[in-house]
Amino acid sequence: MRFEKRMHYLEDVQLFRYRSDMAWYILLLLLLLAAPAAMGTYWVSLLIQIGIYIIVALGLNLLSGYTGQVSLGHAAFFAVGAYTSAILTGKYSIPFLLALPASGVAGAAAGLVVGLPALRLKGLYLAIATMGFGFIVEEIIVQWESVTNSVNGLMVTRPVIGPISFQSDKSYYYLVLAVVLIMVLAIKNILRTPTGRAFIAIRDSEIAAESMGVSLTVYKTAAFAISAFYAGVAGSLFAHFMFFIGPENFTIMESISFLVMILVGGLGSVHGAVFGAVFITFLPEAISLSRGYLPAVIGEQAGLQSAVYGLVLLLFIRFEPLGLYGRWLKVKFYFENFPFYKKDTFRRVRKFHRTVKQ
Amino acid sequence: MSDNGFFRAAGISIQFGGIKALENVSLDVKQGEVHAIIGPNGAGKTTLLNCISRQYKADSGQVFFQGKNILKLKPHQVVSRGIARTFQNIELFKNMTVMDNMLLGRHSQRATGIFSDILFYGKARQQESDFRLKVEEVIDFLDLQAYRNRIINDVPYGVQKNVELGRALVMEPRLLLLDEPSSGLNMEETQDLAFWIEDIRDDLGITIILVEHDMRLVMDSCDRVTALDYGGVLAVGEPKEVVKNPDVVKAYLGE
Amino acid sequence: MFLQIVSSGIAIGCIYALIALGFVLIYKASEVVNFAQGDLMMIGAFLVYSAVTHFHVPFIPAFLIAVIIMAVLGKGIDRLLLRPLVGEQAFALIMATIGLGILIRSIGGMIWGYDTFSFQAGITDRPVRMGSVALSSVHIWIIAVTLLLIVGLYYFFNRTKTGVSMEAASQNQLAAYLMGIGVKKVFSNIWAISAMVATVAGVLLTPLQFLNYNMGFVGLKAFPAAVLGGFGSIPGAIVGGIIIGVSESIAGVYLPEGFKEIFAWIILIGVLMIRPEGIFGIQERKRV
Repeated sequence: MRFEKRMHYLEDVQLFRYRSDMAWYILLLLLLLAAPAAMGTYWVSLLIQIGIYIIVALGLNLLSGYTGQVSLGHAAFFAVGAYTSAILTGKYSIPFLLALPASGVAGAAAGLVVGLPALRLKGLYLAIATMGFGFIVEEIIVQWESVTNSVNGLMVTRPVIGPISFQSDKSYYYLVLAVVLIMVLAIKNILRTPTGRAFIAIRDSEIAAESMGVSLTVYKTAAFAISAFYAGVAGSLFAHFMFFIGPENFTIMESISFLVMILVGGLGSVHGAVFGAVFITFLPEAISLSRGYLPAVIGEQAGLQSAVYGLVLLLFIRFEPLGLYGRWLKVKFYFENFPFYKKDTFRRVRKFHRTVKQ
Repeated sequence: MSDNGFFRAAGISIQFGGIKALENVSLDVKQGEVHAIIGPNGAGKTTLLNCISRQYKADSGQVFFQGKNILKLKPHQVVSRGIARTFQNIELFKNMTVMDNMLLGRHSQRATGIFSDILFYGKARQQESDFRLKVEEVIDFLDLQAYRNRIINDVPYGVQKNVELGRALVMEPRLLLLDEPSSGLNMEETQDLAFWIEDIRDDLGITIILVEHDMRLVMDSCDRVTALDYGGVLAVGEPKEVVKNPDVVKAYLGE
Repeated sequence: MFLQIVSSGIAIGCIYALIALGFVLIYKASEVVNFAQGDLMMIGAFLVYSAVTHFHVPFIPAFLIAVIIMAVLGKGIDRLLLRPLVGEQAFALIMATIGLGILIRSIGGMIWGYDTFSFQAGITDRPVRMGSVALSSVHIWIIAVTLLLIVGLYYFFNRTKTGVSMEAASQNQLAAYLMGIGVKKVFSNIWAISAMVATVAGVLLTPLQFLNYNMGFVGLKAFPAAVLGGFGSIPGAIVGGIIIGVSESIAGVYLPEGFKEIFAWIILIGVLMIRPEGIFGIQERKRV
């Protein structure tokens, strides 16, 4: 058990609750800075992928986890960011340092386009409408050949900022890390201010949020725009990381895997976004590693990866709906309060009533 | 300010699929009074409150608050005019802490935009600190210290009711709408509520409109009463007069 | 020419309608949206295909066997996956059926491989002359079977005791429960029925399209159909499906390339902007 003594109101919202927390995060940062020196290129490229997914997951978590608006078309915003960056740097030779925020803004603009009509939609209808938006964007990429080069895709180069070139994976890693840190900090700030509270309020009760003076129009649209901004920035980093982008990178399955990320990581938590990104990147690795140890009938199946993927998703929803972060909290709680842990401490509150139809 | 310039609703009518929930209802509230709306179940009390706070859209009528018609505003705009409310079946943010719920009450007072929130520097930081100071005042007022950091789902019903009242007070409204504040409370809690209602009126200077079933609370703490039945006004006046009104007695007890 | 486009549109629309019917049945009963409906359809179609080509069962018995297996599968899904999740948030339920769809699809791929098969499902395609127009016999079959199935379902839900109790449970679970209707059993039966409908949809789709483990993605297009129909009304789903099918097939002929694939979604988004609750939907409002 730990005891807290607060001397100032703002201590409630500081980034690190305890001094020991801060020490752990500094240690983590140091490890991340040192990582490329100790790792092979392959592992560094996995870390880059994780970083890119973290950014998407942070944004999607803000929209779906915090504001409660499900988006089944987030790959579309990711695509808008990727193509914006690829076209700006490739065709118009605009420096990456401008193209990166521009991709975010383009994503946010697309987010506004979806967000405004989505205002009147709830739950399921919103999910289906965003899914439709995803299909439409995918088709636009295929058909708008003069800009996107259709199914042949676009070549993208690694960025150069001033004198520094990020050609190698190891140098690009530091660029991604820097962007991830900025994005994490921004979301932490949103969450500890009236903006973030308004988002969560909308999720919990739209009626109460309105009667607190929260404009549903403004904040739902803002949630879409911010979330899509994150996806756009991530898309830009993705394009420059992959060297090549095509419509097959931005399908409905990509949107679903973004959602899996925040669900498995933990809905409505920043840690969850990170855990989810790590999970989604390492799952295919773990499966391909384990293929050798499985009986040939199973191990050689081409569909093994998606089968495991579906199964893991089902198991998480069934047994740990709070995701990896929820599990982490439980383990931590168990040790901090040993031996006072009760099985019911984290019992879920479920609602059994149905929507009232009038 | 003139006597009936503070709050006046006139000719409010609303119907739901052919059923007239309110028909030509008027309500006058003087500044600084506690005004109760009473009536049997289904009389249209909550509907009237919902029309004022714009959760429902009245079919016709006018609502003047401090000389301005508020019947065309959106629910969130009504709040910034200084009208706060609570709900019959508690509408709190169930997965947030007591503190965060009450901080949301300050939302209408926010002076920062989304971008300065993202930077969280200077004004945004100061504002957050000021918000918390105000919330702490209300927490002290309603004795909620013990629950400050508890999730709403985990606190008892009576406390939830108080948190909702507190959340409305944090807004520093000029007019407070309470929808059945005593429902579900035990004797002791109702007693506390009666004191708080007086304090809110006398010390904080907030005018209150409340929908209430508990006649003792109405008799003790309210200055004037409007009685409704079948969507129309039966009687208006001091509590003592209204309960003696033969129409009101008939509405409650039958012939 | 135009009539042929419309008739092929109605035929594919009937398939959408049948899949949408599956969504709607389950949604009405339990507020679960089954994103795996298209994948159930795939399994159903493959079962018939396997029975006919590998085990040389005649078409009609093969179809009946597949329907029974699918009913059992539907009940199994309800028991193992959905029942433990009763009362979870809508988001978790959506993700659960998406996960189920991924799982079913990959299992389908493991069993039947990743190749594309052609299967006529006992229906030979030949032109049928009706006055001056020649319609495809396949289209007529599809429309006829769909009509028959809808009439059957309508009779079931309005005239039989089981059906009426299911309808009652989907309108008010608590009241139905208090009247002695086993709500769990109702859910289980709904899943069975909707898996059976999926099988029919799958069998009807095979003459139009090839069999493939990925064919469940067609099921996603039934979402616009269901939404247009208000996601809760059986006639709505049928009308929605046919609107989507016809307009898609008209778009395929008269609009530039690419529009056919996404036309359903364009209609969907357009309609939702004007009427957020769908054409036949009812506005939901929470009481305070």
